[in-house]
Amino acid sequence: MRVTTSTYARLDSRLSYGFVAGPGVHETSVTRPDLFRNYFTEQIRLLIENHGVPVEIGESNEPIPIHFAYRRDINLEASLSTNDDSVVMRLLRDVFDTPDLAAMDDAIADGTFELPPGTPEPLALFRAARVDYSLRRLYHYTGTDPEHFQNFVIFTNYQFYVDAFAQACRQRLASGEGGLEAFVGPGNVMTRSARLGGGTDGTAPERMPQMPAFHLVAPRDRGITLINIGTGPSNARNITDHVAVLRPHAWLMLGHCAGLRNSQRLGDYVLAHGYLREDHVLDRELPLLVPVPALAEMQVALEQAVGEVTGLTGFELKRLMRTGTVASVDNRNWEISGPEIIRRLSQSRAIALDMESAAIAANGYRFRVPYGTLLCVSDKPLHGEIKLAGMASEFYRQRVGQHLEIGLKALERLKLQESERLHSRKLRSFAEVAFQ
Amino acid sequence: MTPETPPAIATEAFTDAAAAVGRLEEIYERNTKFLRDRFEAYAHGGALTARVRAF
Repeated sequence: MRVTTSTYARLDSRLSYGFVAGPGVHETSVTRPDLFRNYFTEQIRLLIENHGVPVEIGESNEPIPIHFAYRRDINLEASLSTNDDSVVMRLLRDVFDTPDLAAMDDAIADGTFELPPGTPEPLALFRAARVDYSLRRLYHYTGTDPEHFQNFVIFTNYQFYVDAFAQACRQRLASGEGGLEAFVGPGNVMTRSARLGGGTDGTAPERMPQMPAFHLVAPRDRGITLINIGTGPSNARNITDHVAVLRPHAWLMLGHCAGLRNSQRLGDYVLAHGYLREDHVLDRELPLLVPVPALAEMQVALEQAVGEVTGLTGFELKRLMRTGTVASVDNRNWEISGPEIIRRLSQSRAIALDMESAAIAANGYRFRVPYGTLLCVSDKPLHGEIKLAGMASEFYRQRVGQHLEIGLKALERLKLQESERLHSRKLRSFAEVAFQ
Repeated sequence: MTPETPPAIATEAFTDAAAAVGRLEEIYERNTKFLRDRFEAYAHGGALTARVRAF
């Protein structure tokens, strides 16, 4: 896909995407146009409208790896008639193109690519092979095909949220609520809305995938995807590296955290305004000197949703929710690791600590996906309340239901916004690509 | 050795976004099917005389 412009476009300065940064040739390779039909149509429409020039479509010069000619992972080696692995791979590579890792890096997103003079500028953050790679990883990790992913995503680190989400979705579909089509879980098991005839298709997998995903499907992918990413920044970075190629409108971390202040109670909410990145999974791609800013649209939607669900407003809301810095660490046993980390936490004014939020926000910033974090305090290790098995489980169940409801309401509020507004300009660099 | 590729499709300019995406789908479907067909022939013991490539 290529667009050629000879002048700077005079555009509405509120826009954050849909235009190229300057005159010249801009191009990208794309994949799975069936999956990205709505997205591509919108991006191309904006380019044509904003620049008044046509968009050229043709074959790229990037060979399609044989693995990516199939929509799902297939075991290519096992499909061949010889059993000698070394012979198989040699033959395969002699005849077909195989994935080229050099064509899959994130140099465009990270701003580290260097173009020889006269080379076309990039039109999108991700080229075809990078997208193909992630589409396969998404199925591998979540147990669901990329077709089912929705544009509003919740990441969680706690199984209770999955159970609560599945139950809420099934109830809404059984009631035939308008604007919802289906609920999809691992194995692509799909339960359709009663309004569309109901029924369930598919078989759940024998073993759950590592990060199972659940999708409340709405027309034009405007529903909600919830992924249980498990524990740790490595998982958080991994899944967001892949979900990013789907170009969602927002992603949100809803999980449990340690409260760091004595005035917090178990079950209180924490709205992250900033992050202390002690997780170290994105330090190279996004140096620690780069602040990951709070996004006003997300913060307001989350705060309003907390107010709506709890019935608290204004100064009263502060009894239940606190805004401030969230520290994310890579050492789960930070609380028994000596005084140094406690001192750093105090210096940073952090109010809560977890292991995933900073990586999710930082990768949202890195890949220009609007991000937000609302956590629930589940322990206060600095104040003698440590996390123990079976602790206050009834209390947690109640809180999890409310917390999830807040997350879903916040996303409903975001859906009402213009996507040009939601995709904040503050996520965009100097010479930005045109695609959202 | 010249690779075996599907016939080239000329690059074309579009002023209609839906038509542009329609062309993307045509190219993608044709070229991935070309690779799948040849891989399946190869997997079943068919002899391929040249490298197979599509874009």
